[in-house]
Parts: sequence; C-alpha cells; structure tokens
Amino acid sequence: MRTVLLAAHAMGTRFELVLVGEDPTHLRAAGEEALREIQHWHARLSRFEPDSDIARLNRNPAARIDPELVELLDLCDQLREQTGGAFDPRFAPDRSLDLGAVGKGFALDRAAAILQDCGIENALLHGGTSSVFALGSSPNAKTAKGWPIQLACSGTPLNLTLHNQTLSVSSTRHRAHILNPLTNQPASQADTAAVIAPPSPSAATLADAWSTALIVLGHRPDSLPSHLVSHIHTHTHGWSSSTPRSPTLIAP
Amino acid sequence: MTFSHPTRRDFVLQSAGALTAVAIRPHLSFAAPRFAAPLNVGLIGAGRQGRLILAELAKIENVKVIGVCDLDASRRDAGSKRAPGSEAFDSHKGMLEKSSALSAVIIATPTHTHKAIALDCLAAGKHVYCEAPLAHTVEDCRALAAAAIAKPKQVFAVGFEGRSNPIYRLARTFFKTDAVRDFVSAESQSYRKESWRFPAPGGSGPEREKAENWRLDPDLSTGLAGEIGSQQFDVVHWYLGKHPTSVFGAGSIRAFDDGRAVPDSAMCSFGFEDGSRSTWNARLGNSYGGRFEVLRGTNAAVKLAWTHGWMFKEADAPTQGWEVYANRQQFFNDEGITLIADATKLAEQNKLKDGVGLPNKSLWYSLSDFLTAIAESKPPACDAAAGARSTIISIIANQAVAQNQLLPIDPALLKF
Repeated sequence: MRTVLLAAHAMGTRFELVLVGEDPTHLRAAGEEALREIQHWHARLSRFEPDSDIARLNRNPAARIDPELVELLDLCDQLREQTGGAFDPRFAPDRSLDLGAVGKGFALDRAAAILQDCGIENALLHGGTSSVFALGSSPNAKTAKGWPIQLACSGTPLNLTLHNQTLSVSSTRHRAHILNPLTNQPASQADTAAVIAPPSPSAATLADAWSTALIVLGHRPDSLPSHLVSHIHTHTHGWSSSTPRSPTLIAP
Repeated sequence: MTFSHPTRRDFVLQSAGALTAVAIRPHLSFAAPRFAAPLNVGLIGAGRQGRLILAELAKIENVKVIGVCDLDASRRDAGSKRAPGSEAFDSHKGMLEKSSALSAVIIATPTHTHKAIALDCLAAGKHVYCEAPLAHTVEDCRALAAAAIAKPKQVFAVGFEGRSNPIYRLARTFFKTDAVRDFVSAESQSYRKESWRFPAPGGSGPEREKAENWRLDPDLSTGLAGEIGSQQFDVVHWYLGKHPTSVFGAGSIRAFDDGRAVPDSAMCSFGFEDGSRSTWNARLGNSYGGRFEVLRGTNAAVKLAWTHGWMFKEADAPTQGWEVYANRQQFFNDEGITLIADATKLAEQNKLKDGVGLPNKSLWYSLSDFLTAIAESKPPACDAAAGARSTIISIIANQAVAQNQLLPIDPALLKF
C-alpha cells in the first residue's frame, strides 16, 4: 500500500489529505480533485472574497443563487431550528450571512464524495484539524479498523478511532471567538465539544454545526439526533460523552 | 488599434477619508445584463468548467438553461440537477434536434472537440459561446472562425475572459496614455502546484483515464501554453493591439515524471516586428507567485491578477494629480496604485474598500458579455476571429515548447 499526502490553504486554514491505496498517481489525481473542490467552495462561501456567493448575498439578500447553495442554506436553516438558535449563520450584528461554522465540514463532505467516486477507500481528510473525515482505515491500523485520533483539551485527552465517520471539534481554548447567539456573549459553558457523525452526504456539515451548538449550550440537548455522538469537556466535570451506537469509541 | 487618451477630467477624485480611488469612466461600468424575454441556453459539457458556468448562469436574470449535454451519465445528471427544469442529453446533436427553443449554446468540452460541436451549433442557427482555447489545431481554428464569420447574425464568442473583465478593461484605458507611456515589455506567469492529471471514476479502466487526461495527450493537447497561457497571451496582444511574429519555447518535466510527454514546466518568449518582446512562464511544480500579467511602459507598469489590478509608477513619471490621492498597496519595496472597477459607484455607496476586488467571477463577466451581445445584437468582447488569433498563437507556442525551438508566426494565419 502507498500513502500520498496533499495539502492546500483554504477557508483560513490548512486542509490536509492522507490517501492510501495501490496507485500513487491515481491517489494524487483524486486528491487534487478533492482539493480543487475544497477551494471551489472556499471561493463560493468566503464572506471576505468580494466575488463569493456569500459576499454577493450579503450585499444583496435578493441576489440569485444556484441550487447547490440553496440546498446548503436550507440545511443551515434546519440546523438553526434544531439547535434552538445555538448555531446561527446569521448571528452577526448586521444579520449578514457567515457560514464559517460549517464551511469546512461542507467542503470536506464534497471532497470525500469525490474521493469515493474515484474509488478511494482509505483516506483521512481534515480542515485545520477541527473538521475531520475518515474513510476506511489507516495503513498503520493493526487491530481496530479506522484512523486513531486524539482530542487535546485542558484535561485528559480523548482517544478516538474514526472509521467511515466525521468528527468536528469546537473549542474555546486559546480563543474566545465563538459567541453565543442566544446571549450575545462569548460561549463559556464548555471548553471543548466534539461531535462524531456516521456516513451521510452531509455528515461533516452536521458535525460542524452541532459542535458549535454544543460549545454554546454546554450540554447535549434532546434535539441532537441520537445517531450523532457527542463529547463535551468542561473544566469542572471533564469529559461527558453520549453513548455511541457503534463500537468505534475507545475509552480514554 | 487606437487608444483613448484620458484627460485630466476623465479622472474623478472620490475621497472617502484616507481612502481614495481613481474613478473609471461610466462606460466601463459593467451592469448585470437584463433581458426583456427569457433567453434559453444549452450547455454542452458538464464537467468542471461546465459546473462553474451553470453556477454563474444561475446568477443572471431571465436566462434559463433548458438543456445540459454530456457523454458521461453522472456528469450529465449532476449538471441537469444544477439547472432545475433542464433536460439532460447524451449528445449535442440530440439537444440541437430536440430543443428548438434554444437560442444559445455554451461549449465547455475538451478543446479538441470544440470544432465539430461548434460547427453543428452554428449550422443549427444558435448563438455560440466556446470556451478558450478555441480549438487544438491551427486548421480547426481557421475553419471555425471562417464558419462563424459567415454567420454574422449569430453571436460567436470565445471565452478569453480578460476582454470582459472590468479591471482589465479599466487598466487598458491607462495603457499607452501618459500614465504608462511607451511599451517596454510584458511578462506573465501562471504557477500552481498540481499534477494536471485528472482522476477517472473508480473501476472505470485505462480508456476512461486516458480520455479524462486529454491534456496530457500530445496529439490532443495544446499544453500549458494553450490550456493556460492562451488566456494570458490574449490579454497581452489585446492590450498591445498587435501580434507576435515569432516565439521561442522551452519546456521540461520537473515535478511530475509519471510517464507523461507534455511538459509540466514551460516558457515562451514572443518577438514582435518592432523588436519588443513578451515572455511567459508556467509551472505545475511550485505555486509561488501565482498567476498574473505585467505590462511595462516607460512611465509605469500595470500588473493584472484577474480579480485585482495595480499600477506601479516610475519615480520620474510626470505627476498627473489624481495618483497622489489614490488607494495604494505595498509590495515589498514597491507601492501599487489599486485599480478599482466601478470606483465612482462604490464611493457613492461608501463601499470603496469592499470593492477592491471584483464583485463577480471573471467568468460571470464573460458570460454576461456574450448574453448582452445577443440581446443587443452587438459583437462580443472576444469574437471568433480574435479568439482564433490568440488560440493559433498559443498552438504555435506549444509547438515551440515541445520542440525547444524558435518558430515563426505567419501573419497570414491570423488574417480573417
């Protein structure tokens, strides 16, 4: 088996792909196509690029948009309702649209779909280490299938193994950039929140939105779908984890 | 070619505190096209570029994509889904036969297939937008341009995007004025880090892999010079109003030695009849510096980077007044005056800073220009003859790169 590593800068961070397979030329070609997809969505979703779709919508809320973006905005609306407003892409004071909380996950969903179309079965994709998409297994996996991941936090790190799953991590450590849309104050209930989602076309998008919501809420709400696994870390209680439905969680 | 000479009055100062920009003349403003009646469009080729085209068309009012055509079923279905209400076709002939309501077609297929498809579309009476480069051989370019010229009532546009890009159009008004003065040289580059090899769907086999990678097939590809450089050559020659008479090319495989024959690193040096030169470099192994064009005059250099543009004045260039207050950007030891399209309008809205980059993709302006040309019965920014000239030059440049030789460019090949 061969491993190919590719990376690109997008969405204010570094996306990295680790691809495993027999043919490195095909792995690189597939990985580059996935990176092009990530950069395509960076160009469309950035609120800082004046020619992005989001910038256009912020200039003119009635601007025409294409069905792919309509689909994403509809999903964001559903997630805002499900999270009770704890995830809100229109939270800015001027109600402008900012998909920063789900952009990386959405791009990873699209990139992973491309890799799968290309027949790639084993790969790890991440955006800035906070949004992760794991396909198949690491070449170094000896006993358990999957990709080993360690979540650092202010307390005991959490060791996970992801197999055909996505992981999103939100944290207030070293930064207080996550504002609670419900109180307009910095989120302070938890210092780290992680959500693991099983395979679906929007797995990483859902995980991204929910990890943001959990940091804001500080606890797992009833509205969080049961198939999404959550891990929330607070200074006082350490890790609080939901019961996973699949035996992929390795206890720390 | 004649160039307008902006007078002092043409430059309107718009002050917004410390932020000031050179305003452009009103005719350069690029308004979104509006059509009295819906314009029915068909897309041929629903791959990467076709998808970008559909996204931009969706932003334009009263344009309806009623047909999406691709040989590949998954691309065809994905494309049709991106254009709600459209019908999917597996051949362009099928679409032309069945969709009598089609007014215009947009061709975004591999370069070597453009000629046959475009000729069929012209014969069916459609307006045609053909992605650049126009074709993969000199003969195909000339045949296609001749066919388009013979149908003057049909708009035929070639997707050389610089010609409709508002920043490029703005910067061109400065060119050969006192602001830039006499042409010295032009340099352009396109650097990126990618193998230029595209994946085939899993399990589809070597034939499909070969078809996906027509860019790496020396018999079909126009190489880096054609597929990437032609957009930049077109800008330089459009600015200069003249074409080169020779090209020296060199190329090698530096980063992706995977059995390919098409170089991943290339350079061209174009010679003009008056002795001036323009150079171009392309690399796939390193992205530093990216993609831009620089046109140097005795008073200033203009740097164009598709979404942004700057002017760098020489210290001894005469002061024209307006530049003292212009918005500037530092580049190590140099200071560039930012060229801002629609500056007057943006200043009125107090959004000058927001508008430093283009508010739309370069592709949007190119497609809008084509659709406006249809609606207003006027020539497109890049017609078939202009598109053929730039493509022919890029094909000869690619031959020079492949042979590491100096090749002549026969002016007769560029006459239509």
